[in-house]
Amino acid sequence: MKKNIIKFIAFVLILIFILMILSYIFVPKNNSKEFGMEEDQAKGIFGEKDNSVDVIMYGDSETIASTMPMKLWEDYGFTMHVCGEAGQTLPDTCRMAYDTMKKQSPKLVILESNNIYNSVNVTVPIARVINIMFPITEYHNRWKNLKLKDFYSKIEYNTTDINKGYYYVGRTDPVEDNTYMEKTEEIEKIPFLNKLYIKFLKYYSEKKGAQFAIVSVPSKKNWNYAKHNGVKEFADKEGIEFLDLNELKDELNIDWKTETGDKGDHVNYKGAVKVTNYLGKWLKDKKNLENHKDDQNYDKWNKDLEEFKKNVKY
Amino acid sequence: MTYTKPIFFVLFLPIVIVLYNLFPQKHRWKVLLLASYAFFWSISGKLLIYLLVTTGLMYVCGLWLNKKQNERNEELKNAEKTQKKIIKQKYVKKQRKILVLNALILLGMLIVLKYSKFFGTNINSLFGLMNLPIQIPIPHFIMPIGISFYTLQAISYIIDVYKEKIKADKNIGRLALFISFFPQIMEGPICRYEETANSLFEGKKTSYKNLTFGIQRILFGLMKKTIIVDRVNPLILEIFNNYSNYDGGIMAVGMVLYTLQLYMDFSGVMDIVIGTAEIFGVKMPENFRQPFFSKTIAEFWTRWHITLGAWFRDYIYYPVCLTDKCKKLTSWGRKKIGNYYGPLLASSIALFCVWICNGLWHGSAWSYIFFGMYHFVLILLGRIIEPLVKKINTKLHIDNKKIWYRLIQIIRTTILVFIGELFFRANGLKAGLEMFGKMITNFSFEQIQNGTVLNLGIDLHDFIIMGVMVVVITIISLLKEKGINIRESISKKNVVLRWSLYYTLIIAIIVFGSYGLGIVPLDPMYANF
Repeated sequence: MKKNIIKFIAFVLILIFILMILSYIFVPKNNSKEFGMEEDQAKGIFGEKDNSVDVIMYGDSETIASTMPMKLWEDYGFTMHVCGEAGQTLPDTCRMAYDTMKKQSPKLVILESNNIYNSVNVTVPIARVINIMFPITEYHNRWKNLKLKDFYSKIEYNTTDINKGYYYVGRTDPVEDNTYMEKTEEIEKIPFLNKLYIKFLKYYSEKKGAQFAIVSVPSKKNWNYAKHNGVKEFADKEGIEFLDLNELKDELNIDWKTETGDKGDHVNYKGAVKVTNYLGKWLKDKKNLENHKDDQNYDKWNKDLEEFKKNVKY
Repeated sequence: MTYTKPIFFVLFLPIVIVLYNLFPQKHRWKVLLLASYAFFWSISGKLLIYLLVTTGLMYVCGLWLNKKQNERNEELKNAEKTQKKIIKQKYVKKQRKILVLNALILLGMLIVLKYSKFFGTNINSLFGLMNLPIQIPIPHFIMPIGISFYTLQAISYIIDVYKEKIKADKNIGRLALFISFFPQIMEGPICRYEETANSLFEGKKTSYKNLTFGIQRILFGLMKKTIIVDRVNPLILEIFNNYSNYDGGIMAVGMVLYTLQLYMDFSGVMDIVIGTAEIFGVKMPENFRQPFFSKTIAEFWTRWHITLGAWFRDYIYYPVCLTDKCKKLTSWGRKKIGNYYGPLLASSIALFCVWICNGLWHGSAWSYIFFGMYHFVLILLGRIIEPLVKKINTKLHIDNKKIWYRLIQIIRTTILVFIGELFFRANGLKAGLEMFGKMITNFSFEQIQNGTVLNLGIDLHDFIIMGVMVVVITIISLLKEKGINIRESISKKNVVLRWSLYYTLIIAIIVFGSYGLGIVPLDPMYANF
């Protein structure tokens, strides 16, 4: 029995060693797509200077389509990076927060609310931990494109994203009916596990010295008043600031006939401008963020803005 | 939760193994039973009631049959010789009533849940054709997981008690575990009571050998599942859902790769199932024996889904062959058309019953009935022309034991299997016929040569890795076909070689497995049948 236990432990240790070596080989050596990095736009933050980002926003595709950090830079000189991904679940958000806040100390961390209602399998967090321990489990598909360099190169994350995580939606696919967010007393309950993830995000953000807030960006298709009530109830209980831009629909005035790219699922760039304008004002009024425009350390942001404005007209 | 989901391996199975071994031997079966019900509940929820009803029926009917058998034996003890036959007949009738009642309830549940939509739709179509203004309402039922499998197990138990092959079990716990054991509930194998009930109930402690052998087998199944089944799925979906966009060459690719996917999925899940059971010291019957080395379609069905074939053989084919009418037909046939073709008349009736049931068992659609009839015709034709083929071979001095001859037989059989699977997978019989038609009238290599095939969801690298896997599995199958017990041979090798093989298996799954961002794993395919 004892012999078998020793054999088992030896087997596992050797396996861990092999996986560590393979992980080194398979992990992208740079944070750009050409080096095999998945979701490279969000991971552009890894190339930013240490402790240079004021606001980090996490969430799913609603996030990346609705917020233009470069416009915030242009208007107010705040540095924001959207670290959302299409289909980002809350465990993914926690993982991303863990990775991004290793080298960044933001003043504010924002969670966009859409993924709060996506229920998550209990094995997902275990899978994410395994991904962190053995990156080969995340980047295994790179076997198709491995190069000799992957066996000896150092990891250097120095690529930045000129959109700072924003995903440009240029098309218009209208919804005829502009009405949504009909008031109700109904409360859509947040899944238990999801509450734990949000609590972890709040705890981790605060541990890193950041405030934590939940923001809901406009989505006619995905958001409703029962969800608003659910998040509001939870946020009040946990002492989390909650800004629902769907509730402020009259103030924001998104025109779902011209400002959505996919029938009210996401806003297009015109809607994103309105969202960003509102967020900018909110950040300026409530969060007391510093204007870095004249700071030489942020010169790269001015250059990125020039590039950004060539691609995105608003 | 299914056998191929991480939650099964990461949480469920380890917890069950630990609890099973922590409990004293006499209570271990309870851990397995509770785990089995939890597994069932996780997939089908309240539909667990159907499984409980089936268990209750088996228990009550089994004991009822046993009671009648005991009464008969008592009467026989005191009866005179002339009375014995009458007593036996009287009790056969009584037992038959119990058997029929049981089968009607069990099959009734299966038919209502699985086939009401199919029959209802067809009856309404018939009314429509006859211009009758009647439409019957079509109910929509949700089927509990594994109903097609556990119903057959339950029926086999009752028939075996009726035939006095086994004694009715007085322990409802053992019966409940036999019918619900979680590794087999979704896709079988369809076990017989005498094969597994006692070993399940025994509660043997997990030995080091059982644990390691079980894990090896599970890993082998996972390798098939992750490297081939999930990888090829986007291509299969694209070809079968949009077949009108492609030529006959692509249809052939889809047909071959679907057959490969189905085999790897079902045999892979069986590896996981048998490996899991092995950890608990339970030996499950094998469901596959190198099916693609079959020389005839009849042989193929003794190597593919073996337990289903054996079930149909024992509970449909033989009973139909042994009915009075079939016996008379055989005697008549022997006189009229000789000793070979005479018995073939009755056996073809039994064969027809088997294949109509086999087709319907797989699903409630005309394409499945066609699938069954396709194999019925092929097997019957094979039997009809067998004497003729033998004659030709003798005349031409062809030795049918030569390797080239056997190879031709294997290739012919494999192609026939591919065609059957095309109809099996197609989205309806009409689509199947159109796809097959394309292979005949519009066959071309153009879309394969111009690279279209590499834009259907998988790329050249994927094709290469699948090819390597097929070669590896073919070599393993060849060794098994030669009677080599690979796992025992590996266990006798030195530790370096042994561990290197295990590491290779694990690393192959991790590196070449199709999982992660954007990949939707396919649920076990046979669980839907």
